[in-house]
Amino acid sequence: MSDATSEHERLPRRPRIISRFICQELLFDYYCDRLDEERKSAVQTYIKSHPEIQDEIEQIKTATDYCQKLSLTRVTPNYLSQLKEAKTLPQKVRQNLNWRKWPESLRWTFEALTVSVLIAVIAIATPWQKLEVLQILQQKSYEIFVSKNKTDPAEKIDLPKVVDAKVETNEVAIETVKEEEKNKIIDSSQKTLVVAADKPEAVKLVKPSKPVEVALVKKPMGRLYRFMMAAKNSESVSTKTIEKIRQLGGAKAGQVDLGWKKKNPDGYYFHFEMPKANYNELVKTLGGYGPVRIYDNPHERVMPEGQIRIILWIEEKAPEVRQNIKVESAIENSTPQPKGDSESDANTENSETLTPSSISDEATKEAPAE
Amino acid sequence: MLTDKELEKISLFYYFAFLEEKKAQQAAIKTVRQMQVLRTLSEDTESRNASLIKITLDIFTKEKIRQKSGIVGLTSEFLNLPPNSNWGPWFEFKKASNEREFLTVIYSQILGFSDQSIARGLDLPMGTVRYRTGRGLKLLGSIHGPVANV
Repeated sequence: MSDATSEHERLPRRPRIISRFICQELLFDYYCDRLDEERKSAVQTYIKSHPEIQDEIEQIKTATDYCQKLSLTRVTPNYLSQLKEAKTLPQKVRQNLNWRKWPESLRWTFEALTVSVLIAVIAIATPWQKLEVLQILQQKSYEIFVSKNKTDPAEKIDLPKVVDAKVETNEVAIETVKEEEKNKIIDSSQKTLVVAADKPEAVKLVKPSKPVEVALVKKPMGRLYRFMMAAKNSESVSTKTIEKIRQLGGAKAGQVDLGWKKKNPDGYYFHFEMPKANYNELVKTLGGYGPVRIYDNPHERVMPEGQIRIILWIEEKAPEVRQNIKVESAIENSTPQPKGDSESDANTENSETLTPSSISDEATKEAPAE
Repeated sequence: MLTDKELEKISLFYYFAFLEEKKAQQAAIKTVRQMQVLRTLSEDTESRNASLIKITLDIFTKEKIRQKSGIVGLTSEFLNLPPNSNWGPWFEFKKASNEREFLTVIYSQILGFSDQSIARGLDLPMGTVRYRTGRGLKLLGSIHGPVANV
């Protein structure tokens, strides 16, 4: 065994030979005594043979001593304390934001400013308009007044959704009703019924014994009076008529002036309005100039209350010969002819005699346009 | 929390690295703030040193870009310099040396960090750390001259 162990022992190695480069690289470790024995001896061997390497060792030594001297530099305690008090940005901000440490005046100012800003933000952000609308809606909402008839039990009636509906009891006129109600049968009672805007189902009404049917409601129509007359010296009559109309408070109701002279057919055209109270006087005056034919027709143009609208046509009277022939022919025939051609009637509702169609048509053409 | 010794090392590093008082103070304050933010320094000395080295290197790298050319100098207001100290060779060493070797010399020789801490902080093999230190010291020695006049 001892022979085997000795065989495995390390054979003495030849001393390592290093190059200049390796030696230079190992110099610092050699100086610090960090090399193993083999390398250490190799470096020592090389240094002995190359004295210039020793200078490098001296340089390392000199530098090390120099650095050792410089490492004795110390920082003053004042500077250390400043470093210790160095705070990060969040720490600085947190310290400054600690308002409890602020001066009292500054603190009060900040609090007052904060409160005022909050109030301003609330005032601006609050939807005041919506609140106002809600109030208005409440004000505008209609309440349903129910009066129970003591004899008849109350019955529930479904009403359509109505806005601005008003039904008067047993009255002829219903002022404004929506389209949906025109054909509805509405129970009328002795009292006024006002319908709620948004509560159609919560209505209780009392059915009277005689329900009144309110059928179609027609749009109110006005009246138009048409005066047709033939007079001698129609120009003079026209002038006088103008004065009379003005005297009676009349004024033109169309685009043309009073007594507008028209040709083909020739005549004088009046389109005016006047107080209704003076109607009879006007008819009387015109009747003095000749027979007047009066037609009263409904018209869509509605005049204010107390006013009437008249279209007057004055044409030159035809020669008497023609009229005499007509009279003679009438007598010969001895057939009673209906009067009305030469008489004026203040309250004539419809036309009495044949109407000169051309004249009335032309007068009608102007009226709708006005 | 940083100890006074660590604070001193941080301050000295920037003084020796920048050789400009204002810049060194700003960098030191930034380093201290960053260390406070981290709050995770290990109790192990080697680990703490490695963290210090890493952070100081990072901040030095950022701040050196803004450094004006030329060296302003150091005053004795915040430093207690050794008596009869000669800063000339050090100024020359900063100019002539490679930055990596320069900083390694500061960490190793001025601040006294172990090679292991420096290797961990710089994320380098220990051999590289020793190599840089040796080269830096050789250069410093050649600048200084044969006689150490400190």
